[in-house]
Amino acid sequence: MNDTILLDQQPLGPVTFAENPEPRCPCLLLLDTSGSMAGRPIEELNAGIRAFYEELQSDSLAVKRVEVALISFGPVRIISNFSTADFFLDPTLVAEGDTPLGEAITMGIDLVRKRKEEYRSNGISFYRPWIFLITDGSPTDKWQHAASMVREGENTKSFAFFAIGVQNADMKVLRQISVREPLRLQGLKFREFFQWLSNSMKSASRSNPGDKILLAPPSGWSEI
Amino acid sequence: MSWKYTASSVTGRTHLDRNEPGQDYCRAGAVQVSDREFFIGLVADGAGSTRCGGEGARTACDIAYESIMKTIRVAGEIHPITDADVRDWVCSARGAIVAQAAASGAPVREYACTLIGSVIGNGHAICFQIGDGAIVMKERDEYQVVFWPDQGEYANTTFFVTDESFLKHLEISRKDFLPEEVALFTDGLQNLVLSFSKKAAHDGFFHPLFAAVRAHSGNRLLDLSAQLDGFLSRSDVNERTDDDKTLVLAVHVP
Repeated sequence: MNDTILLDQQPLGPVTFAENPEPRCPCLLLLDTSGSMAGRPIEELNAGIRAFYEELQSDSLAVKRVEVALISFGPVRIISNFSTADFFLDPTLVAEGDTPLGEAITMGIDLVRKRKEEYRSNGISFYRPWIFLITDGSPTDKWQHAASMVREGENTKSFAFFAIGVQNADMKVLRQISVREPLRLQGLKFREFFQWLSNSMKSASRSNPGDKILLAPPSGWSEI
Repeated sequence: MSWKYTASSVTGRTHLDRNEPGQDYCRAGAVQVSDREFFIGLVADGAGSTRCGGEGARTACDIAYESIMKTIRVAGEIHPITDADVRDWVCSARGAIVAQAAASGAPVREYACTLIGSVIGNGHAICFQIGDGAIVMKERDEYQVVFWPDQGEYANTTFFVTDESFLKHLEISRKDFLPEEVALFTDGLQNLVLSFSKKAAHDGFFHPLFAAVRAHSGNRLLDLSAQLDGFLSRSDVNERTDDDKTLVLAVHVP
């Protein structure tokens, strides 16, 4: 940043750049860690998340721009608030409890709203947040209010909400919650899913004004 | 009095990687009306998701440039130019893009682009802008941003000349002084040269570049584009942005 450039015959003094925070690309993961996820499902989920962070860390722009937050449910816990991949704490999620899906979504949407306020008050520009819900069961709490919040958020373009069903997930309920068609994970292909997600985040985080964010086709991990 | 200016547009890494052409375009020139010289600068950025945004940007600059020249030749001054004249410049650029799209059978939105312009001379200046990117002018020894970049809610959204509601996002500003230095640039540079937390232009970027333009021995269009291209393609620039980058610099010489 301190070298000089030569313009024609005249040496030019050192040009400096405005110190400017990178635009942020927020992504929230709502992860079902209820009792039914015990055993291989939770192991594969943990491995997938680890690989996801490693992918983001290895990309020079994504590591500065993509911010991930993790909420696990049952019970609903904020595992990690929004932060860039270099602050990954490598949590090991444990399967326990029931499936308070409605509460997880409400808390997640609130977390996204707060983060956007922080960006705005700090003059940081940002991309439309993505929320991914991953569940293997059916909700054990009231989810209707959460569903209306999802619809409201999609209508106002406050975020984009995606639902992924694992194994015996109640796809009928997911369809009522998510405006976008829910997808079903093939077997336990969490790693393939997170590989796809990190690729999508990488391309979103370098998109330019006017670019439409198009997710790559969910091949390799979803059942059509 | 006269103007010295230079203009450069380089293709960003995103487009180079995909083997696509750049989608920025610019025009800069000085027009003599009786004993006065007016500077006209224009930059436009074709929308990233479009097939023909770059062509839209070129048409927007070329047509707006012609329209501005006509107005200046008739008016002979900046101050009689009305907001309606500025809207006419933008409407003529948009009209040409709509015709271009119709001729190629593509929807107008495939030609989406921003447009920023500045016309300066004889103690006055007029600036206009649709979308992001910015104009920076020296005013009372300070670099001022004329319009803060008009972004939508999200970092990858902005407004275009081709939008239905384009006139709603057209900003017009007049200055009753002669800015000695002016820069116009597209959004590929805005994160490097504007401080978003301070909402201000970064002096450390503009001062040395204007000094070099001022010190150049040439007149009117300076032969600096090779050096400026090199500068805009430098690795420390590319580390901060992978978008197309366009910069017009003009300096008034009394």
